[in-house]
Amino acid sequence: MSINEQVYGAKSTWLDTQYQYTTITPKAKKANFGGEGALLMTGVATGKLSYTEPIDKSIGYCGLGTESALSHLTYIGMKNGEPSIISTQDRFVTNFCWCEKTLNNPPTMFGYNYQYDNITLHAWGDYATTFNYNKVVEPLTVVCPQNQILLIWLQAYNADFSQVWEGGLKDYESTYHTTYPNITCVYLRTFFGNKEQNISMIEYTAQGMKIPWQLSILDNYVCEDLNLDFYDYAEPLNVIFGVFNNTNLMYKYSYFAIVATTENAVEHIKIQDVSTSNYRIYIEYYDDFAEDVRKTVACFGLYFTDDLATAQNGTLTLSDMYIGLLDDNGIGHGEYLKGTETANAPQNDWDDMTASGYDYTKEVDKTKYKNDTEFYDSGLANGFTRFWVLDSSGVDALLSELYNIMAQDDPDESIERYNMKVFLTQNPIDAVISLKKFPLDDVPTTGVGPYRVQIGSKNTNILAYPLAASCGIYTFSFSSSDDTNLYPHYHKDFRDYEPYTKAELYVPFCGTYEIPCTYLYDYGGLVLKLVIDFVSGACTGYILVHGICIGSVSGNCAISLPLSGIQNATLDSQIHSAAIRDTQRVNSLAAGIAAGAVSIAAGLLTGGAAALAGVAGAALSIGTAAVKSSTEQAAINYEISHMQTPLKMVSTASGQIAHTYDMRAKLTVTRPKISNDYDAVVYGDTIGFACLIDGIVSDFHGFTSGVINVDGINATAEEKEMIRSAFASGVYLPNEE
Amino acid sequence: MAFTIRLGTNNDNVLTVGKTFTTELSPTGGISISPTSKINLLKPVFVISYDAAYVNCNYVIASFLGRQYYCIPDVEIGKQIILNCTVDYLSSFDLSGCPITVLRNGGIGAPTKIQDNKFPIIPNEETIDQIPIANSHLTANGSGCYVLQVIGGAASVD
Repeated sequence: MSINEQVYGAKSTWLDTQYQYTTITPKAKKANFGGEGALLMTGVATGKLSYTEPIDKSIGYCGLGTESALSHLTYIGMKNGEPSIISTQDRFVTNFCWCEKTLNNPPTMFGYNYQYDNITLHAWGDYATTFNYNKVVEPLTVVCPQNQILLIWLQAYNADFSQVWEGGLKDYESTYHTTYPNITCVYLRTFFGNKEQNISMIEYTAQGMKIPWQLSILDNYVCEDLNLDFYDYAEPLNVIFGVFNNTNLMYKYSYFAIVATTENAVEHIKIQDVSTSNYRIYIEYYDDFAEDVRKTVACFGLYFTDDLATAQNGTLTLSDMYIGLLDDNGIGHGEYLKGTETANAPQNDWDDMTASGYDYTKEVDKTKYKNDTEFYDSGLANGFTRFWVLDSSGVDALLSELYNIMAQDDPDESIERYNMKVFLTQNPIDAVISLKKFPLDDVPTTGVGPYRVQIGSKNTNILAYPLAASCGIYTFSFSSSDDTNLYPHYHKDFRDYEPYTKAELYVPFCGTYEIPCTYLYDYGGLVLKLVIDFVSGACTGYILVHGICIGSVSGNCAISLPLSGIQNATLDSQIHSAAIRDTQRVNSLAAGIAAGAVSIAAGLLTGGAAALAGVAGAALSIGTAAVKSSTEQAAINYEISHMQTPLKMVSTASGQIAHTYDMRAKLTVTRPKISNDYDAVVYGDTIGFACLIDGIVSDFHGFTSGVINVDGINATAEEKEMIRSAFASGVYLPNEE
Repeated sequence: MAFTIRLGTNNDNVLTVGKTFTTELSPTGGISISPTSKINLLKPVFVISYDAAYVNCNYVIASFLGRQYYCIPDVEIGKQIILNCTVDYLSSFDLSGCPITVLRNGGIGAPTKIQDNKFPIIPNEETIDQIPIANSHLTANGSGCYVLQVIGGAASVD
């Protein structure tokens, strides 16, 4: 799309930018609104711009896709007295342009005089008596791809924020990210020159400050919750990842901050209360950070590097030099070329970036965005039950504990201290819900431990790690060496597709899923995600092609193991019952003996036949008591020795057949065989190959059948019908000359 | 008014478009014929003087009718040859510019992605390929881990 010259001035009048060599060609240019030139406030003064309207987006030479951090904005504000993420703004495409900004107005390039400013001063408004940075911004109309290099630079702090580091992304990624994991902002420095014209790259500095191009977003910032709706064309420090604030601090009085990150980095945004007047907002380093930043910069479609020496050198094919690629619509999606491959970028043949053909009014093909299937981390509701991950030695310990006869207390003492808690302690088997074996070595655990497992209220010697999530997601990736065709085209025709060729994916434990053959050839990115439920053992395999789920199959991968254990409480009560009865027996015997002895003594003392009879009776009574005691003891002994140990079984065994089969996911492809008598020449000459091609008769030769339109030839109706009929059956067209 | 025809033989497949003589038998300028009272445009009959050279002809080009014909000669030896003609509709007109949707074609040389149910695929015979992917997650029977679910209170770190 051409730049609107009604707004930005005729192309021939565009002004040279200040920060480039005078000898360089072609030259970067900025708008000419008339009057004093390129200032936005000049545009207002000359009637080309209006304070109440955003500036014309035709000045943007490309769009920033969703891969750019500038297309994902996080708004931070105050909620219930605490700073938190209020909302996010996602755009399919973000419009931008580069600008210059003169030094003298404002007096400092990066200063922020808050006494004269409030939120609204960042808005595109007329504040004649107060200060508005937007006024002095000068938008660039021409950017020449080979005359500048963007250098990715960042600022990061150590863990306690006592030390700060600044440097290039390359050094940060390789050396410093561990020591300085708290990233406050990532911005761009601009080097001008042209190595191919033997003009060395310089970074323009004045008054000791680096003067980059200003990054101006042409789409407004909107956050209804924070009552924000404004345009800001003067982002300081060219922040392209991180907080839109040159000090990474959110002033408590202003109560909002805007953070640009890629979508996956939002969870790494941290907010820290640092003083009575400030919150610090930063991004915690994560594994994909460096690549996310490169993708963000690549969306600009310009040469860039993450290494200072490379920027200063300026040779466009150095190993650490990159160039962002734009799609056919002029939108950057984070793709880039690196090193010597940059010579293949189409921008090398462009005089300037307007050759991208970007048209901001064109409807965005939203089907190309956000097509990834998302999987979420599952929580674990420990609640009333707990999950432990054991190895085989842990299982042995478990079985020992379940068969451990606990020491028996004195029955009287047990009764004295009887309470519910004691009762619950006695049967560990009652506290076991299930034991399942999984065909995995990497079940998610908290990593803390090992713990001694408590079953019920009984502490055990079982060592285990707590399970961290109720589900685990395991990825199996099919990929070919060139990441194009997963399976070779054997025939490169209909025989490679259904119903002649069939493809099935075997998912362990779940069965098979028929894969449409087109995904074998045209995508190359087949991924199986096996989601396993550690609570039930159920598993589901999700089949994804380039991030899109095309189907799923389910099964069960756990082996449920039956457990049995001693019901200690029952055993305890049986033994105690026997002990009590024995005690009673002893007491009864003693009492009987004592009573008889008393009688005997009394009888002997009394004397006489009656007394002697009483003595005999007493002796008999003693003897009877003794016999009875002996009989009872024998019964108790018999009972104890023949006591059946009370056992309880938990769960039942489940099948293990699936565990004996191949644990690898497999793609099985069946394809047809062709008759050995097939001759392509003869077949083509007599039957012809099935096709569906439109054209005119002279486009074809050899045996041809089809539907012909004979309107326009000077023939009778009968002849036309005969021609149509002949072509439908098949005719022979002259061979190509 | 005299008309002329050209006479010859054509060995091409009858269904060939844009035919011409394989061998032309008539002299330059053609053969004069006498007009009959009626000429059927699609099945004309021409009478020519007998010439042994024309006895085996099978193809006629009648420019004055704007058409080409297959012919079956009735020969009266020594007297005349009666040419019973049938229009060759595939060659009488310039069809080269006519729009066409081609459903089968030999000139493309090979099958396309359009299904061809006439193609000589042997039924019930197939080749099977299997592509396993490396398994870095699942373990064979005999190893693996166990998940124990219990009712229990807090445990202590060992």
